Amino acid sequence: MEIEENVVIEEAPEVETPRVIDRSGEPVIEFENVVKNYYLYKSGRERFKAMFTGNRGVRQHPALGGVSFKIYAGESVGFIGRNGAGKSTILKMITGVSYPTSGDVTVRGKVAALLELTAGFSPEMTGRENITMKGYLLGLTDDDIAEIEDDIINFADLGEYIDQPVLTYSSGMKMRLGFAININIHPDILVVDEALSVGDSRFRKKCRKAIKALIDTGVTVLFVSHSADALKSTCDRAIYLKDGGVEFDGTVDDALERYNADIEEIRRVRREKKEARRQRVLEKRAKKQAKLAAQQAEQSGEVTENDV
Amino acid sequence: MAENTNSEYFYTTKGEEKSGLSIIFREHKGQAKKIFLLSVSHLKKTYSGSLLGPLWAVIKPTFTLFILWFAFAVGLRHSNIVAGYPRFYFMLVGYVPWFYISEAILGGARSIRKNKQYVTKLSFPMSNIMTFTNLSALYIHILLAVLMFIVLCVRGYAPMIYNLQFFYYCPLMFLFFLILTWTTAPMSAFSKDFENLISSIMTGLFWLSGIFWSTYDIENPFIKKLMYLNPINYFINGYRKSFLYGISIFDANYTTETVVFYAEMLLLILMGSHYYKKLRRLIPDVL
Repeated sequence: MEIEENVVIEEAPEVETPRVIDRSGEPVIEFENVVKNYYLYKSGRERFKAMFTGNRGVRQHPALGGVSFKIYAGESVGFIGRNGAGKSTILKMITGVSYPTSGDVTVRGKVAALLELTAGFSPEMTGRENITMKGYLLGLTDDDIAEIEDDIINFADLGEYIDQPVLTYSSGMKMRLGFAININIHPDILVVDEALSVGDSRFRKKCRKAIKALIDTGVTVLFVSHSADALKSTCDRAIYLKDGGVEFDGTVDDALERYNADIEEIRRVRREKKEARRQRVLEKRAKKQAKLAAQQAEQSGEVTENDV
Repeated sequence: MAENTNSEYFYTTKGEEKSGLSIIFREHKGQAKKIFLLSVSHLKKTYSGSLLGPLWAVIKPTFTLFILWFAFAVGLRHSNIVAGYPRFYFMLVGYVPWFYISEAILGGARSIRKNKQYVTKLSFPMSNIMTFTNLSALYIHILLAVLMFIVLCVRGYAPMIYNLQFFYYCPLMFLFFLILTWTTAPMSAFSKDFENLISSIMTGLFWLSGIFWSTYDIENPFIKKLMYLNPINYFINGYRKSFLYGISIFDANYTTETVVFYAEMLLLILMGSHYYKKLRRLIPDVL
């Protein structure tokens, strides 16, 4: 199997080959009418009370309002949307951190999330021990871990530090180790957030290359980005999220078009509002000045009267 | 590679289990190694960075014990014999399980909040957090119990056949206070007030439980029976039966106490199962 992969990479280096996606089988990721509400507690007292009243009367913030989609093996899907549209909530559900309020999420495959790279490290353990630890946390077996340990160590390139406690690491080194583990676990699904920054520019380049290589092997990719170029070059499908719902699901170009149109619309509305506000302020100021002038005129009138 | 989506890595929110108990069981299945590793890591974290390291695990309870002994055996000299034993040995046998119990109640309740990263950043079965936290406290307890045994041997109270009852009381104690955390840990994670509530009743619990007085010596028969309701006494007295008194677990005089204890444990299982299931999915959002 690995030989096959290598052949594929050699045959098509850097060239965008349309992937063949089988949509007849079971999807790798399936969201069925997923609703997510976050509870907003006003105070510690309300929290304490909520424990016994079952959150009755607590204000809720709807993050997702009935999201459904299916992602099939080998697809590369970009998620776009403004802040608060529900991107992170969806990713959190796919990685199994957060749970839907109603509806169902199904994930078939091993997920590597390049989101919280340093989460789950035990600072007092060495880098090597943490590889085992993190492996367990990601659901790997001893054999799996033994197989990939060397790859991880080579990739992280920490030198002698690999046998030092993680608490002696710089934040960049921790990131590197975290990234090396996540990229090397042979995932079925790769979750990438573009806002991710790992170490210096040299290592970042290495990361980008590794992600690209992994994508080329045909894993399912979920990609969150604000960059149109990055989305176009990586994804062949995009889901545009707006106010906790799927606004558009289709080609990247169409999704970006819709997104940009909406952004433009929002900017226009905002500009108009601003303009209107400015107008109002100007009007007010003019009125005030007129009033002031009138008062002054009156006063000066009075003064002159008194003088006389 | 993408085609071989093997069934090992399958996750769905469909078909939710009926009880919290079954969720907890499923979350522990096949996780022994991970939990063990985490418990060792937790132990290291607690005692690393200091010169004496793990020695502190022994120094701390020894010091407290010394102070208590000093106050009661040297200071208030008139009551040097309790239940027919020198106060120091009587207290020692009570204090060793108490040190574990207080650690398990307090540390257990705080465990989720302390290990926040596992809940809010990783897909990690929450109930494992309580297990590895309590497990790392258990290691210290076993170490202290061995030291206690040596001291008792030197004084001539041990060894005796009843010492083997340790292997009944100790695992049961671990289990009981682990089950307690199914309720207290999610609640403390949810509300800081609840955590404060627990830490503020700890001192009270210490004096209300028979750690350096004997609950069996209470003259008022009603209050004596009332003491059965405190499960801590079941273990403190159990340890004394095993290491000092030489009384069997099955001694007919103490059947009521045992029955009351197991009834409470059952209640705790039901409560823990209920609250764990209820709060499990909410905690990642509110922590």
